[in-house]
Amino acid sequence: MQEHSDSELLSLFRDPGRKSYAFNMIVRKYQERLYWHIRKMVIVHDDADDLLQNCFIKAWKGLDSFREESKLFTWLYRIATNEALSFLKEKKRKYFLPVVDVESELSANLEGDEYFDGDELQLKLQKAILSLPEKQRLVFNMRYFDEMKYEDMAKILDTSVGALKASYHHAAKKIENIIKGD
Amino acid sequence: MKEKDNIKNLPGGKDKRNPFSVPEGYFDNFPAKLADRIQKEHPPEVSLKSRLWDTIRPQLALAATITAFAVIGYFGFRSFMDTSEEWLSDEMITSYIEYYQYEFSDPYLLGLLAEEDFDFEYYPEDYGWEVSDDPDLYIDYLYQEEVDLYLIMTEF
Repeated sequence: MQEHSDSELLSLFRDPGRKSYAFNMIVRKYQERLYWHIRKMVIVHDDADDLLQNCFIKAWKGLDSFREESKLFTWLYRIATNEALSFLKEKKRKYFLPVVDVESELSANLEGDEYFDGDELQLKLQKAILSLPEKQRLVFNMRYFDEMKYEDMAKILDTSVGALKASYHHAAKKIENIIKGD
Repeated sequence: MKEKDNIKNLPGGKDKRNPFSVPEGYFDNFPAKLADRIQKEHPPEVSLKSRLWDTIRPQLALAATITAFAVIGYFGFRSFMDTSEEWLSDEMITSYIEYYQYEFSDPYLLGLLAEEDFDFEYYPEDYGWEVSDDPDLYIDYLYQEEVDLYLIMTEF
């Protein structure tokens, strides 16, 4: 299937007769990247699935007023990031759990997850990543796994490139120490 | 030892395989699942004009049907009632009179009017006849014409 550019998809979306078709194309283009971005934060597939749907529903409602001041990709990533962070925040509030306990729960979910195919080394790495503060975890995942440019990350997370580099450096160091400590 | 080296080099290292997976066909089915949810939770907004049109359309259809029946009924009834008479326009009547104006003589017209039992006033002066106040003249006339006086008296 021919992949349309973002501006082509947005033009199609503004045509009332082709709105659904264009949105379907947008979903197909970005669903995997957004899913993995969310999944690495919330670990459990079902939660990631719910959040991905919420993310695209917000996009469906907001795309009419999207003025292309940022790239579509950046805008969608920002929605997905906010969805994941809100979910984790709500989880902590709902169960009155301190941060450490939520991370322990996520870690436990990881071990029992039928959709986790990693070996022992990868399990160790994921557990180490889960020990990081949420925002550091986010930065680490985006840089390490998605290999995203700091400039793009800065637009998504609305922060400076310098702050992101420092955050990634600290995260990597912590992970290294945690794994070494094992 | 090798494992330790790999771990040490993880950030920026080569082994970045995604350890997570999804149910089979998940990404193939996701767009349809999402479209269903959007359709249920956020059906496309209908404009005020469309909603108004949808609301009044049945009433308009009913009104149009009633009007159509009324018009058909009126002309049908009128047509049925007028089968014995021919409807003539003013122009047709005028043409008819103009065509036959020379065919009409006074006696013929009077005869027609008498046949139709038409109530009219007869003025002899209009025909240039002399009118006298002397009753004897009338009696003489009737006598010459052999009109039965007794019959006249009983009739009038």
